[in-house]
Amino acid sequence: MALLEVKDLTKRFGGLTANDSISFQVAEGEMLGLIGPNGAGKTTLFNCIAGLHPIDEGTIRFNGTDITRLASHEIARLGLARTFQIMVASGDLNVLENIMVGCFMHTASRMKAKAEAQRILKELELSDLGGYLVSELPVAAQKRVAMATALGTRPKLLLLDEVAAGLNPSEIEGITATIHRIHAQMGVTIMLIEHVMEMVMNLSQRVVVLDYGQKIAEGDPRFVVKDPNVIKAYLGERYAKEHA
Amino acid sequence: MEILAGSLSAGLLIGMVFALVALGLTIIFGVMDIVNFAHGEFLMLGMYTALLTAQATGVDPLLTIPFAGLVGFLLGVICYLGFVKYLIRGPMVAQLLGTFGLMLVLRNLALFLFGSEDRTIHEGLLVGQSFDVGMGIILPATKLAAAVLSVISFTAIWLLINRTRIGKALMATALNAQGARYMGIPTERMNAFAWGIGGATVTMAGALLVNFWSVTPYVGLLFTMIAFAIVALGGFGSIPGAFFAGLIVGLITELPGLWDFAAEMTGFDWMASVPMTSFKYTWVYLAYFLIMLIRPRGLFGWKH
Amino acid sequence: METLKNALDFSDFPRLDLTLAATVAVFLIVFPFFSHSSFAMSTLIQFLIFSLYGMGWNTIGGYGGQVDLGKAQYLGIGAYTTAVMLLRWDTPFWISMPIGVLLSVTWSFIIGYPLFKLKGHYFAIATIATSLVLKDFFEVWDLVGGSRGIEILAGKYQTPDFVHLIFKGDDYYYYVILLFFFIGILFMNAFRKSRLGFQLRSIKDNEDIARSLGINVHWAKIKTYAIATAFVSAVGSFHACYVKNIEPEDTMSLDISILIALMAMLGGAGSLWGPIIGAAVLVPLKSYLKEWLGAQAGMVGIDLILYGAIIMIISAAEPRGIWGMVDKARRRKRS
Repeated sequence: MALLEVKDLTKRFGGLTANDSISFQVAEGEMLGLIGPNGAGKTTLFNCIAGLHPIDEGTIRFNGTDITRLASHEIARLGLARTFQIMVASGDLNVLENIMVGCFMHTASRMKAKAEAQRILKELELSDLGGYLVSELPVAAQKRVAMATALGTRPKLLLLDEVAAGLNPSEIEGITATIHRIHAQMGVTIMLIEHVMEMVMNLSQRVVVLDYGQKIAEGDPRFVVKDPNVIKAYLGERYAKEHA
Repeated sequence: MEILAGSLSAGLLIGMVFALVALGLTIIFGVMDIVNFAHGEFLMLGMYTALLTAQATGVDPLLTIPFAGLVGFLLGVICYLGFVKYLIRGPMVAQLLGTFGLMLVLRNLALFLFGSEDRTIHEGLLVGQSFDVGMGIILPATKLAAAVLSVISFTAIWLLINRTRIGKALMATALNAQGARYMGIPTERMNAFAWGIGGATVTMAGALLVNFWSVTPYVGLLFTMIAFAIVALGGFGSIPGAFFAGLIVGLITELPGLWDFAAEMTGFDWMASVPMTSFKYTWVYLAYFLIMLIRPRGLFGWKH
Repeated sequence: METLKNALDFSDFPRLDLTLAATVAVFLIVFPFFSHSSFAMSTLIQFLIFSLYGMGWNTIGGYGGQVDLGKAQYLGIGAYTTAVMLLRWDTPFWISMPIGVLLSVTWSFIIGYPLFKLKGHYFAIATIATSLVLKDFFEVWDLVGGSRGIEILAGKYQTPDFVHLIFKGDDYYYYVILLFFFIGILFMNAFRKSRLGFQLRSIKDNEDIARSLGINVHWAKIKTYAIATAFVSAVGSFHACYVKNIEPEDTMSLDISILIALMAMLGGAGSLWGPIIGAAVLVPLKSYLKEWLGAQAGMVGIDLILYGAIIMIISAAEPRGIWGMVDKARRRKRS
């Protein structure tokens, strides 16, 4: 049984079909990449899975439970966490306290939440930055804080939304290593939306490709990248034809 | 049957007046998202302006309307440029409390200048006149004039917003101030203009209101609440919404009369013991609450 | 008993703050022993009362970011419960006060459930609406004396009466409310460190993110609203015994609701000391302005004009309040 099963998921906004009958699965322990040109519906898909939008058709099953109609906080409680492109739990609290917010999901004790948050900070090599406000940190650190915040809830599945956006090459290397740690050491199944192709290739065992709301390819990234439909989606029909 | 017709017509008539009071608030909110606690005080000042001008110069109260409108326009512009524009930079708490401070200042300024006694206009062309249309419908001339002004104002404002360049500029500022600025629209001036129009419509409403509603420095709060309820019911930012919501609110305030009538007719004692008329405005607040739950956008709202 | 530890632990404040706070605390404790005017005493009692109202408001309005302008209704419920139970059944304060809180909290859950489906301006106006509806209701309800209100005659009791909380002099009242005040501070200290306190701050910044962290936003807001209500109601009960003459117009009016929110905002909404600072500034200001200006012939209303002007200036110039200014200055110095 897969950890996440998405079947025929369709989401419309008025006249626009943002996600059209999308189906795929994520196995426990996997790292799945979600790619596609801008506007393909990737973040919308994440939002639907995480319960932010009610979907029009289809079902979503997580860890055996049907989560299609659940509210987003209930889904989080079942062990499905996600990051947002800009993610600060509270601008008034420092980094450690931000992570504690997520940790409070499993405990009412401040001491326990604090200890857990410190543990997560250490795991992501953020221990020195615990006392700062998130806004005071450089972008790369903020991205790691976003992931740490989501990790506070001890998720089984973590959806990462473009965590590499705005980072330079060496920062991308750093965050790739962090994601790797989360996956390998902390045992979290990961699904990530990414535009940086090397990251996707380095991290994902499989990718799903979206274009105009539809799934157009799925499989090993090395082969998917050569798929003519995928090339057409990213680079246009002419290029695909010329290089077929 | 006659009582029903009488109540309905009275409700609709006063509803149109309420709508006019709320029109200014909806313009200001539509353009810049600020809830003005001092709105009722503008009304109150409009009432005093009309009253005192009529008494001082001896002209008919109806003729004081344009002057009251001018005063209202200036007041609105000054409030914006001198105070409100600094307020909108802050969080909503500060905006609400800031306009509350303005309300205190205006109310107590009026108290200091005019004293606390009730005053109404006693002499004038329309004062005391009414039309008997039959079927129990009696239309007092002053209320009718206010209702007519209301319809004219709504139409005029609607035309202004939708058919003139300046109106389009106002809408642009309302929808996206940043974008409007890029297009070369002077948003500061648009905001001031919105406050000016908002102020003018409500002071003119006051000028007419004072012909049949006595004024004290404290009359503002009730109308502020009524205006809030109307604007929220009709949908923040919607001009036709404000008009229809005004009618509905007007009818709601007439319901207690119908209740007492029904109590009499049916002879149910328990009905008579409920003092519905003292609850007139309570029903307005309750209606607001219910609408907010069922349809938060209001009837025609387009903001949020 | 981690909550108790949380309540007593002020270590995250700089030493300067704690020294100042301790000094003020000592001053408050010994004040009645020095010679003072009764006016000063009553102003201080008002300060303590409004600090507590503000602290309560601060939970949902400051930390939670939902501007509630209808707190006065709970003042009324608390005050009237105590007053009515005292007059009818000779109920001790220490029983009528918790009952008042129970009634208030029940009412807060009833209206809170629908109320918190709203946000921003709509929410604020809805809170005003509910408060005014309740006030209108009290003005025609015979049990509570309608618009004339209720009067408690001190002469009927053997003062000092600690059971019913009736005293002749202000000094006893002062120490009772001072005790409430210290308890209130400890409670708020525990609150801001509690799970609910953290959750609220996340909710205030971004509700979607809060939900993604497993927080049931709607329920958290309702719980916090109940806490704020409990504060206001308890102190409202005290108010009834202190003032001994209550009517809807001066216990449940919009002006009071706004005053409560104002003090918290002025001092710094969302911080522990904010409401206290706000009350410390505004209560004496209002009292003294009224004394010097309000009573003078021909100067009616001037005190409130000045008061309103001050509110306007603060709202426009520093909406984060006094504590916000202090915090900003400190942060700038640190970087």
